[in-house]
Amino acid sequence: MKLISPKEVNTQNQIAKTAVVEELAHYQSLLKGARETYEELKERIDPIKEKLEKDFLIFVNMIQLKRSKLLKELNELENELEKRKRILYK
Amino acid sequence: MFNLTYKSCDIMKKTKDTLTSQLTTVEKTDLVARIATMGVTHIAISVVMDDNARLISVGSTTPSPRTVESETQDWCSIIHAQPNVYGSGTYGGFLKVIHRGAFCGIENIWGFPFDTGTALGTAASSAADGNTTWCGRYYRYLNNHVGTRVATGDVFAPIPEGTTNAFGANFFTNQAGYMSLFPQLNTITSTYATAQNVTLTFMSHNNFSEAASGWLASSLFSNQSMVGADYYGQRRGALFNKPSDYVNDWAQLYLGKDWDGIGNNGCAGVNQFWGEWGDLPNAMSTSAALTEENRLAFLIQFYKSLRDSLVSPNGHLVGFNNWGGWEGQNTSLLYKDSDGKYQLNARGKILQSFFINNGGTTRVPVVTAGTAIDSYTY
Repeated sequence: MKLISPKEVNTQNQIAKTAVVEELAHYQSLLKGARETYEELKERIDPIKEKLEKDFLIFVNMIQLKRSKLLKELNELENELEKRKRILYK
Repeated sequence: MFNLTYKSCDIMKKTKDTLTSQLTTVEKTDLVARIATMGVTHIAISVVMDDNARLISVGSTTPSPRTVESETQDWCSIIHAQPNVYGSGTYGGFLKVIHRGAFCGIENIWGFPFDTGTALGTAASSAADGNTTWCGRYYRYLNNHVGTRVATGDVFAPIPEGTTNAFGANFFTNQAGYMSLFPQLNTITSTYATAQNVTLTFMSHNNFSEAASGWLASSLFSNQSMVGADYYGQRRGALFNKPSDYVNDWAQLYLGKDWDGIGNNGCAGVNQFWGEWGDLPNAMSTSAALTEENRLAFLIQFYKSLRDSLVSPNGHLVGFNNWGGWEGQNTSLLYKDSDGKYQLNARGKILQSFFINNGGTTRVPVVTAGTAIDSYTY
């Protein structure tokens, strides 16, 4: 078994520490870049998202209004049909 | 305590649809008297609000036998003369009118093309505007059509379901215009009430979807101290029309939310008026349409849910207007007997027990008479 001197341990620790710090700095830089990209995209996407949400709600409302109107009209026609049937089969 | 302040039945089909073949005064009196037995405090009429001269010149429609102005006054007089079942402690003992009149150019009816070009006008200009603005036309409806046939307790809810064409080319105004028009109409009504020395209520009966989604802002509702909406269910989707779905949707609305508890609409904390509901087949659970008894069972449960979860003090619903005050249809509350007189059918009796007894019918009645969809009764 080879013994490592305290000095050598310190040196190796220092080297490892430097490597970690460098790696950390690298990731911090990546993170910063990612954050900036995220903020940039968010700024562009948020208004689109907001508009899409609004458009979707309006679309849902539009469909519901049309559906409601058509169902009422259909019911009127069914009532009229029923009425005519009654006259016909009297 | 059951605080449904406005108990109403709509007679649209006997007022708007019969413009050129109006009921006789005797028929009207009979219809109103029979509806009164249901325990209503109000009857909602929908005589169109356009002048007689414009009906002829623009729509080539000639109201008959009365002018549209006389027809409006006839209905108001008959309704105001009809005692309610509650006595003098409720609205002075007589029925009151809910005015749910439409302008033909907004609905594309009676020969009128869609009217998208008329200016809104203002309350201040309304008296002088004549027919050149919507405010002017409404002013004329109040002063020339209804005139002195108005009474304390009457409600004015003009242009019901006014957002129906909001997302197409035929909308009579735009979102901002819709929002600004109704406060002006409210002011015109208030001025008219002062002149007539009566106390009136003003509200707009919107489509539920525009209230729930937030398309209509809170200023509209705070101006009226009311959220008025016509609703046949299904905000969540076609299958969501059980009584519990209706309760959920209205309860969420009071919280300022859509059906799913999401959103931030303008309806939070404001009392609610259900401007229109009838048991159209699609407004009920699928199973309810199977047999007449199933349908009646649905109605019983529906009204119980309103009582237990929506009507004050259990909720914030202060008004309910049933869309069925006529005979001959699958939503009718009445039928005509062999003498030609109006009678309550099973549907009408169930509504009666909700309005008068508050508790509602307790079990499905055995249908003992009737052969057609409007005449089933017990």
